[in-house]
Amino acid sequence: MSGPSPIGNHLRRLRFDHGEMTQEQLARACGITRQTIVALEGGRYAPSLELAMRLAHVFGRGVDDVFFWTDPPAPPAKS
Amino acid sequence: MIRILLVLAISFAAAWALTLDSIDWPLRPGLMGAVLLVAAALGARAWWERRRATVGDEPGGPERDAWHALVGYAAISGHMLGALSKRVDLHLGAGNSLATDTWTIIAGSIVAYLIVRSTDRTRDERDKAFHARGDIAGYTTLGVLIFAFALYLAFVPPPGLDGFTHFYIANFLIALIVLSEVIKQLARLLAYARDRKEAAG
Repeated sequence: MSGPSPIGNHLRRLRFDHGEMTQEQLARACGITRQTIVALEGGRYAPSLELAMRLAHVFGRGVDDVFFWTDPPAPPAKS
Repeated sequence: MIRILLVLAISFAAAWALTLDSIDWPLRPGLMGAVLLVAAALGARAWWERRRATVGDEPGGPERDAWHALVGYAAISGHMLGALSKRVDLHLGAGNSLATDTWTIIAGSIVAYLIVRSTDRTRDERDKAFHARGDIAGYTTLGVLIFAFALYLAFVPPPGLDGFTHFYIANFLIALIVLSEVIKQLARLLAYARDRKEAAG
């Protein structure tokens, strides 16, 4: 939960691009606390799939447009 | 993290001190405890409002609830264990003033909650994860305490059980439950604090 997350995001930039939306406004739009937005933007929290989709939905984007691997796991070995 | 432990220690010790006959309080001890809780709540609310306006790192609603619960439960357990250590069984029906004091402190804690509670009642998945850690710590503590008390009741020779009326045992069990709540809130707040510390780098 805590510590650097292997998943990064573009939330800060997307907020800026959407009329300089505040953290408070984004939090309300997703039904979460502003402190969680702070944790997400700080790269120390990886959201659930549901929350990731809700965040992406606010910006009218797909999850892949908002979240990305910072340290991708190795591909599964072929049998 | 030091601040959390300090708040816990002060709340517990101050409530225990209210049971001491050697201290002459300006008010009735229970009322004194209630007034201190309400004053602390007013101070905390003002501090968080200032942090919100200046730095923006004020705690969210669930964390504020955990702070209140930590202080409230620490005060109640401190007062109960202080009284029980004197072998007072805290039976309200027996006209025990310490029992009335405990209830007054509980009333003060309820008023304090109305002061510090956040109007935003949002509780999201991150809060739930931190709270789950607290639940594990709290229930583990409760199990250990009740098991230890059961062993004490079962194996300590009778002189060690003088004054153990059924009211005393019932109130001691309640004190253990309240103590486990203290640990639960402590674990929750430590989770929030660790998260904040990592954010600060």
